[in-house]
This record gives sequence, structure tokens and C-alpha cells, in this order.
Amino acid sequence: MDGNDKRHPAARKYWQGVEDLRNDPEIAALRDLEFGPAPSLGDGSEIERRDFMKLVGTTFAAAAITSGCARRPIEKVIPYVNKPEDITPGAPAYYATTCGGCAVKCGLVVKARDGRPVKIEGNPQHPFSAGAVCARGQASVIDLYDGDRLKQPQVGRVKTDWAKLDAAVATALAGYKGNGSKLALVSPSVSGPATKAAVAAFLQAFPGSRHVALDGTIGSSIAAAHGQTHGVARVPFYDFSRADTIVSFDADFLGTWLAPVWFARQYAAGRKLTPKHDTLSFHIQVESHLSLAGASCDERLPVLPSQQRGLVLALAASVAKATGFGGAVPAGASTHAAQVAAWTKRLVASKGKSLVVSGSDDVAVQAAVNLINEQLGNYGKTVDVNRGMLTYDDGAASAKLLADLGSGAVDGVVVWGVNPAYATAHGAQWATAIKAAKTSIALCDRVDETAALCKIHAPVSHYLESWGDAEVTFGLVALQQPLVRPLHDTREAIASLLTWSGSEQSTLSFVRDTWRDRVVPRVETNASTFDAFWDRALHDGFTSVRTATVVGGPAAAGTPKAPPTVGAAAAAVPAAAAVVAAAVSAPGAATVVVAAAAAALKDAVLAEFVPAGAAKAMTGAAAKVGQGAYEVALYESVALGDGSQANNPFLQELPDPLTKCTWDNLLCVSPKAAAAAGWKQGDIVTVTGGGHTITLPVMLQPGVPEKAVAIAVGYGRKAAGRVGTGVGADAWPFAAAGIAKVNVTPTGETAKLGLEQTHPSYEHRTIVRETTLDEWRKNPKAGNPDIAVALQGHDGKGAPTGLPKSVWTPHEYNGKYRWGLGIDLNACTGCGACVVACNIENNIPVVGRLEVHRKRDMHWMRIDRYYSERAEATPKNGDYDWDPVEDDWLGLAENPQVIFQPVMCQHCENAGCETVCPVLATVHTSEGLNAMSYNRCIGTRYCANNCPYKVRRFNWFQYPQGEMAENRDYNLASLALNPDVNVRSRGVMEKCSMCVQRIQLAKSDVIRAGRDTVSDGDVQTACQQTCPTSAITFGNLNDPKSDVNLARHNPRSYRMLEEVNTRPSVWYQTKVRNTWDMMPEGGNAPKAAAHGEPAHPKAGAPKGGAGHEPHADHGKKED
Amino acid sequence: MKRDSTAYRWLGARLLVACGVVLLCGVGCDRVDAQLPSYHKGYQPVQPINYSHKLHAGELGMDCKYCHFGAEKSKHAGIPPVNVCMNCHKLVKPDSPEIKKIQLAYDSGKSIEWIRIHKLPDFVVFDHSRHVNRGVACQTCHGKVQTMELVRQENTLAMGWCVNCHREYKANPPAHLKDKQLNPTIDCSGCHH
Repeated sequence: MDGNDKRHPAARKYWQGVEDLRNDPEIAALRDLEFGPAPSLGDGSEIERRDFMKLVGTTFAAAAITSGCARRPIEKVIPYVNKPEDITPGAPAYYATTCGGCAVKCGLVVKARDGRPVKIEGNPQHPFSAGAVCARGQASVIDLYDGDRLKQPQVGRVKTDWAKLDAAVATALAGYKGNGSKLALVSPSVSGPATKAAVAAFLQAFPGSRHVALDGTIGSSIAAAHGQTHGVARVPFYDFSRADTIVSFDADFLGTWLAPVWFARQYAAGRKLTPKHDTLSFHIQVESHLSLAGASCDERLPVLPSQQRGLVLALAASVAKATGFGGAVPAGASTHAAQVAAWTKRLVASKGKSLVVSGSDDVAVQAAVNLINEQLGNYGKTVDVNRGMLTYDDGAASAKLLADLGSGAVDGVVVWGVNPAYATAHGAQWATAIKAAKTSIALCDRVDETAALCKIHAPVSHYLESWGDAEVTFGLVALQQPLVRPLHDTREAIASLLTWSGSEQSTLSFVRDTWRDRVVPRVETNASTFDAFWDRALHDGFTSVRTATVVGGPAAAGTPKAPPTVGAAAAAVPAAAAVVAAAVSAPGAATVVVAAAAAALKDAVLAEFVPAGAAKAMTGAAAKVGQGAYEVALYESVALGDGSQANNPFLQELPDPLTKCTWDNLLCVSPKAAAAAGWKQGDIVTVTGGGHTITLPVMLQPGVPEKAVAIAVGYGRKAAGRVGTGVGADAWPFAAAGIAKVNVTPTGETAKLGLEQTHPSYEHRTIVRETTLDEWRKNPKAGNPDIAVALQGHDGKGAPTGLPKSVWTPHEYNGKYRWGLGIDLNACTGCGACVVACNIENNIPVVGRLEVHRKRDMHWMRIDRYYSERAEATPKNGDYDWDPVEDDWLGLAENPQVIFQPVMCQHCENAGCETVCPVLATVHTSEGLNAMSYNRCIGTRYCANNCPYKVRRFNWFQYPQGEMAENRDYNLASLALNPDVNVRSRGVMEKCSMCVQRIQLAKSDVIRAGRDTVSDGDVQTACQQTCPTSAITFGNLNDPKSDVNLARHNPRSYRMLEEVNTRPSVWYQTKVRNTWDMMPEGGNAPKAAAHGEPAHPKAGAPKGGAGHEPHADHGKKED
Repeated sequence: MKRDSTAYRWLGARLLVACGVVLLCGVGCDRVDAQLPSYHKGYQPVQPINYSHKLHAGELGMDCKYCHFGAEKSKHAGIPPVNVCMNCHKLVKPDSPEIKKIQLAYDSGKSIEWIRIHKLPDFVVFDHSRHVNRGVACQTCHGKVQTMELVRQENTLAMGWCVNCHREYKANPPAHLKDKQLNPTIDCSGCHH
């Protein structure tokens, strides 16, 4: 190790946030209070110890009355009359289906217990999501049991039944029978054959009516740009796993951009180090707020939103010049010439193995990105436009609909599954238009902002109650099957559309028929019968279909020509075949279907780059920039996205990966701007711009440019439900102004923030370990020093054990099992899916905003987010105290590196908690687990005090029935509980159990299967199973071949706080970075001069450039 | 903050009432032991249908798992659905008044409300399949059900009783399980999670 390198981990400091960096007195004081200030009543008032005793006295009495008498109530057991064949009471059943959480439609395998869905897992056979689910997908099972869903049809806001609603709809729509041109059906893009057919049937019933797809603006602009540059308006298929160099302009592809789960999986393939894969992709992120992708990148440039466009255009011009592209490329005004030059070199050096993406909703920017990728030869390799990835409309139709609604050209709308009055840039306009419409029908799951303006409400079943399908990626048709009958008087949207178009067919039979007609002809290997095929598709959750062959009739005319880009020969001709087949088989639907066929045939002509289109698109008008002191960078938060799941308490309580804030959105400002303006963290300010004013608390967020403020959308819902309404402030209106500029004025008030990161403190002990690729290649243990075994212990008989001296005799794990976890810090992107998965698997209560403010969040698993400095601070008083002066910390907090560390109970061999429990409620098991017996716990909390990792959680209240119960229907919400895990009551300590219920279940399964031992694959922890990057491995350490054993013996492995000799069962693997320098002036291409080796592992990595060792003179001597 | 003495008196009174309630409860409880609710050895309620395990499992020699089919594949052994009874009783003794009750339940769709006998507290997980598939006989816990006209709880099903069995296996394994090389756990997390 290089002791002179001031940037070496040993010399680096990690801090939890600006407050920790500055060591604010409030934070310092709270460090000593594990559970926050003194106990207080649920209403927030503090109480004294004696009052507490009084309360406790009452509690004893109450307990005595209810349970003291041992005569148990007579309990009935009531069996089924006719037991459904696939339900065995007490045994889980798993069904494959398709996620309805967002447009990505990942494959799911959902666990049902006794007929009700309780846990969502990814479908491991799905080619793209491959077993992973994001936080929102995980939480979507809770939406099923949301008490604020619309439970009954309504006409004119009066409850009614379906017959009356259908009659009302028939009356309302009667006027459109002859001429439907004034009627529009608004929904997200539909992609499944049956869903499309249902829409087609509806449109056919009202000839001339239109279906308008309303999608996220980013996907729409990508589709529109490809329409210009490649002749096909669609989102292409991206493959980050094949990209050695990734440049992302404001695209948070690990958090929220398009299909983050798929991308995270691909990205991890380029970021995981194994003996066979010893290189890292190089990732450059140019962004206006610190995103998940920005947290994982190698080089990060914070820029203002208004600078993005110029930078992308400049890069396009620069790449075009470097690759000898002849076309006229308009070079925008760019601010960072040196960086652009460095990026160009790096990109050109990895031609065909690079990927440039953008999160802009500006078509010109997206067209420039297409140009860059085209010049680099990435089409056909890392981008494939011949194979669509997600269905996004280009947005022109929805803009036209909004205009037509305004002019009266359209006066009837059916709104299905979208909330344009809230979650769009022009929410107010949509609201006015829909309110004014003569006919407005909402196919909605709740009376949200848009539905509230509609006259008829047809409640839509949750996706776990519905049949449906999706084909977002060519070649993969996904099937959605219900796991439970509708809990309320709701109906599938498809069923409603069919009914209103005069069909009496059930959804199931409609989906089946459509699949028989349109999917079966495209299947490669036909099953013997349709039933066999259908059963297979139901079992798998999806079916792979042919995409390249056009069958029959008119489609033959569209024989694809060879694409200009390489590698696409075998790729997609999309749905043409099916559409044509359908046209032939269903002449009744001819008009619509033929129109669709024409569109599909256009698709069938494989895309070709159109430089003229690119040039034309790129000269599009620059986004307008408003007036004000700060530019607004709007972003979707990882937890809430566009806000459609705002009523989900698990998502509201999931800390944002970067700010670590729960139950609020914040005004993220750079610490420098805050220092200049005199704002403190938590100050409530008004944000005014573009005629819109909101009030938000200030968050000092490193990584935000000084003249920008970042705000998450998805908050400030007005009609989300009891949990989500009024949480945070609505930032969507700022999206209307192009790039909004705002003025920020303090109100003089302050707010408490639910920042979970600073709840525990490690007092600046270095618990994350890092190194660089160069150092790791020289020494696989780089950055991972052995903790000296200073005092060797003995086994009690005088023989040395090789272990540090300890008062405890070492445990012997000589049974079959010893469970352990391995966590690869290189793979973790901090997305939080594991946290939600853990919450739902283990019945962890949501405690609500007030309790989070009191440091009483219950998450068994948290993802610690540390910033680390690029330069040296001024250490004081040795290692653990650190007091940087203001000049230091403002610089340090400008653009720090980020590292995530998932932390759960470490299941120590020498566990501090076990030794202090007075009642043996927490004990060590023979399999290495640190077990909690809840029914034995008397709540002294000694264990939590003594835990060095701060992973124990205490039930201060009867949380499931407490504050949150007022906002949720408890009886309904409790249906989502996992029956295999105890619900803990007040006064009980809890923590990660390594999913012991799953271990036990796996043991039973193995016995049932006639095998002896649980091995890899038989059991996964909830966090491991859902992780998009497979950062977590779990298994039996006594099995020498298990994955976790390999992880444990990886030279990068270490255990947290090894020096205190707790001997955890969780092994972390050192993070290996490309570089220590997040953002050197002028790009960091040539960094390795200091080591005399190529900076970047890739052959032909660019050298030269304008980089230098940043702040080399800034560091001060440590000793 | 100073506390005045009335507060203490008030607290004292309240604790006294609490103690009183506990005592009263103890007295109020009749012959059943005032311990954990699961200590119900000997509990033998009358069931809504006069079903005889002695006849079915004993004299007719039916396998327990014919009706309690969950025992091999689930945590719960399960109470047979009405259609399982009807498998035979559609033909066997359909005119018996007791069978007619089953027929009624089957026809009306309103199931039979059996009285639960064996019940563990909610904080205990007992997996039938784990034990049954390892060869532990039903009778080990449930007693000789095949001799019972009316089923009664034969054992306390308390933790000590469970753990004894788990402990004794190693020292003195029963003959029919001897060669199975079992390793019954006494870890808390084996049953409490």
C-alpha cells in the first residue's frame, strides 16, 4: 500500500452528510442517544419517567385483563367445502406474472399464502430483469391492500353498481357511436397483444375515436429523436453490459431512467471483479443533481440544467470531428471544452463498445445523442434500434389531444391508468381540459387528481387481480395473471373496455383468444395444443416469439432490407406478423387492425441512420429558461418515481438513496450556495418561479451545482390517499417552464428532516474500504489491510487459537450449517430494493414521519451512504475526531465520491448484544445466527446500546395498529403480512434474522424432496433475491463450495469493525474504483502517471488530455 | 420538576387496582391451569359432528394423511375439506343423521365449524411436514388418536415438552428413527421467528 498517497483509503475520511462533515453540535449530541431524545407520547409531547411508569402500570392491568385468565376462547377451525386444487393451507404457492408497477413490465414470481399474494419476487427466467425487482415493484403488493383504493363504481361521485355504471357509460358514449372523432382514450402506451386488441375493439365501437398514449417525457423524447434519426419512433434496446465507456447526461439509469433494474444488472456485469473479469467499465456522469448513477460513476461533472444541451451538442460535434463524420453538426455553446475533449478521446478509443445516454426531454439533445452513438458505431452493439426496449409514444399525439380538448375538437375522454392533472408538465391545462369535457370517464384505482375531475369512475383492479399482457421488448410477450379475486367491487380495465364496446366476453377468454390468434403464429416451437402452450406461458409468465419473419399477405411487401448498422441482421421486425395475421383472422376488426398493420410494416423496414433528420432535429429550439436566481433540476425519486405510488407507506418511508430523507421532498442546494445565502439544513424556504410557488425544507446536498436547486417530483399529491396526500410539495408545475428558474426566500421557520443516515454513527471509524483498479491488480488485498491479531487467545487449555484474545470461548460450528452473507460493495448501487424486500418479507412496521424524526425507524436493513473527500481535510485529535474548517468542508462537499454499504445485523460470533441480554432473548444458534426470541424480550434495550453496528430496532409503540393504522385500514393492510414471521408487539426488540423463516422453510423443502442438505439455490434471503446487481450472496459457510464461502475467501473481503473482535458473519468486499478523482479539472483521462502504468485497464485507453493530479498540494501532512 | 404526593398516591392506587385485577382473574379461572393458553392437556370439546377417529383411523385403518393431507407438504396438517368426507360418504351411510350434516354443509357451501383442540401460540412455528417426512409418528404428539372416540389433547405441547424430545433424540433415539441420523434443533430460532 502506498502510504504516501493522501487519497488512499487509510487517509480518506468518510462522512454521512454535511452535518456530519462539519460535526454540527446537534448531530454530535444525538450520537449518544441511540433512539433519539427521551421517550415521548405519540402526540409528540415529551413525558417524564414517572408518567411513563403510570402508563406502564395501566398497560400491565390491561394485559392482565385480556390474557391473565387462561381459559382460552373456543376457537373454530373451518375447512374449505371444496378445496381449490392448488391451495394447501400453510404452504406457499408461486405464480408467474408481470409487474404492473411501471412501463418496464418486469417478470415476477409472486408468492401467495392461503390464497392471498404476500410477496413479490423477480422471475429468474426473465431475460432482462432476471429475478430482480426494484423497490417500487417490491412495494406494489402493498398497493393491493391499500384501503384508499376506489372500492365501488361511481357515477357522478355516487356509489353504484356495475350494471348502472355500464348503462351510464353507454348513455354518455352514445353520442360518439356515429362519429367518434370527438372521443379519446388516454392511457400509457399499451403493448400486449390482448391489451392492444381490447383498445382496438373500443376504438372500433366508436369509429373515428383515437387512443392517445401518455408516457413519461424522457422516453417520449428518445422515441421522437429516433423517429427523426432512424425513421422509427421508438426507444431502442440498450445494453450497458457491452459498454466499456458510458457517458450519461442526466440519465439516472441505475435509479429511475427507463428500465433501471435491467440496466443495473447490465451495468454490474461491467463493474464486478472476478478472476476472469478484471476490468471495470468507465462511467462518466454529467448531471444537475446527485443521482444513483452519479453516485456509482467514475467521473462526475455537476452542470446546470441549461448547460446540458450545449455539452451534448459540443460532444456530438467533437465526436463527429474525431470520427471524420461529414455532416454538418451544429456545435452548441459549451462550457467545458477540456472535458469534452477528454470524453471524446475516451469514447473514440472504445468505439463500438461505448454508450452515450441522456435523460433530457429535449428531442434535439436526444438526436445529438443518437448522432454520437451512430458515429461511435454503437448501434447494433450497445444500442439496438431495430429492437425496441420499451413502448413509449413520441408525445406528439398527447400534445395534440391537449390542444383539441382546449379547442373543443375533442369533448369526450376516457382516462385509463394515467394522472395527467398531476404527473405531467402541463397538469393545470389537463385539469381544465378534462373538467370542461362533456364526457369524462375514469378507469382508475383511486379518485386521484385527474379522476376527481371526471364524471364516471370505473374502479380498475390491481394488477395482481387482473388478466393482461405486455410486449414491451420485441420477442418477449409477457402474460399477467391474477393471484386473487378482486378484493373489492372492481373490474379489470380490459373488461370495462370490452363491455363498453359491446362485447360480453370475459377478460380471460378474450386474452386467451387473442393469444391463440396473434401469439401462437409467432411462436418458434409450437406446443401440441393451444392449451399446452397456454399452460406453459402461464407457468413461465412470458413466451418468446419470433420477431424477424413476416408471414402472409401484405406483410411480404415489407421484406426487411439489411440494416446499415452491424449486428442487427437477426434482430427485430416487430409485431407486423401478428398484426397482419390478426387482420386476416379477424376481418371484423379490419379497419383498426389494418391501420395498425401499416404502422407495423413501417417498423418492418429496418432502421437506418438519417443524418439529415439528426441535423434537423438538433437545430430545434433551445429550451426556454425562466427568470430567477437558481435553475431547477427536477428529478424522479427512486422511491416514489412520478408519484403514482405515493400512497404506499413503505415507499414513503424508504429513504432516498442520496439525501436519505423519508416522508418529504427537499430543496437540494449545494452547501456553497447555502453558505453564501445563509441557509441552514432544515430551513423552510419558499421557492418561486414561473408563476408557481412551493414551500420546502432546505437540504445541503453535495454534488448539486452552485446555481441550481434539485427537487424531486412525485410529492405534494392532493388526492393520493390518507398516507400520501400532502406529503412534500408538488414540483411538477416547474416542469412546464422548460428549465425553470426560481428565487428562494427563507420563511424563518425550520423543519425536522427524517434523515436516516445520521441516526447511527460510527464516529468516523472507517468501515468502508476502497481501492483503485491499478492497486487491486497489483495486490488483490489492496485497501483491505489485515487487522493485526495483537493478542492471541487460547482455547482454555493453553493452546493458541489464532484468534484475538477474547473472554469468550470460540463457537464451534460443527453442524451442517453456518449461515453467512457476502456483500460486494463494487456491485451495490444503493437502489434500496433490498430494504423494501426486507420490510415486506419480515413484517417490519412502517412507523410514520414523526417516529422517523425521533430516530425510531424500524428498517432491519439500511443502506449507509458515505461521501468521501477527494482532498485531505485537516484531521484533529487522531483518527476518530475530525474537524475540517469551513474552507475545507465547502470544497469537500462540492462533488464528493459516494459509497454505499448495506448494513444489517452482522450475526457476530462474539455478539455484544447476546452478552448483555438479561433474559436470554437474544442468543447464538448452532448455525451461527444471532437469534431473537421476541416473546422472551422484555425491552431493556441493553442489546441495542451494546451493538457496535446499530442494527437493532425497538418497538416503541404497537406500530402496526398505531399511528399508521389511522392512515391505513388495518384489517386490509394486515392481509399483506407474511404468515411465517411474527408480528412484534410494543416493547420488543427486533433485527435482521437472516430470513430465518426462509432457512427453516428450505430445510423442510429439502427434507420433502428427499435430500439431506440445504445448498446454494435452495434458500435466498429477501435482500439477496431482489438485488438487481446480485451484490448480496447468502449461504452455508460450512459448505466449502458455496458462493458465500467463495465471497468470504475473496482477498477483497473484510468484516466490519474487525478490530473490536465481534467476528461478524457478514463479509464485505472492498470497492474498487477506476480512479480516486471524481472530477479533475479537464477530465481524468491520463491518470496513472503517478503509478507509471496505463491509467485505464482497457487497451488503447486514451492518454494525454488535460488532466492533472488535482489538489496534490492541497493535502496537509497527517502527522 | 417536583412531583406532588397526590401523583404518587394516584400511581399507587392504580398499581393496586392492577394487582387486584390480576388476582381476581386468577380466582375467576376455573379448573384449567392458569398458565400459558397452550397448556390444555386433556382438552376434549364436543365437536359439531359426532366423528369417530377410533372408527376411521382405528377400526377401518385409514391413513391419517388421507384426511390430514397437509401433514406431508405444509406446516399445517389441515382439517379435511368437506369434499374429502364426501368422497366416501356420498355412498357410505348417506342416511345417517351425522352424515346428513356433512351433506348439508356440502350442499349449502357453509362449512363445518370444528372446535380447535391443538393450538400453539402465534409466536411458535411448528412445521408438520418437517416432522412427518422425517418419520415422526402423528401419535408422538397427538397420542393414540386411533383409539379415541372423541379426540382429546394428550400432551401439553409446551416448550419444555417439545425440547425434551429434541434433546432426548441424541441420547436415546427411538428405534424407528435411530437410523435416520436426525439432528433435531434446540436453537430458539428453530421454532421462534
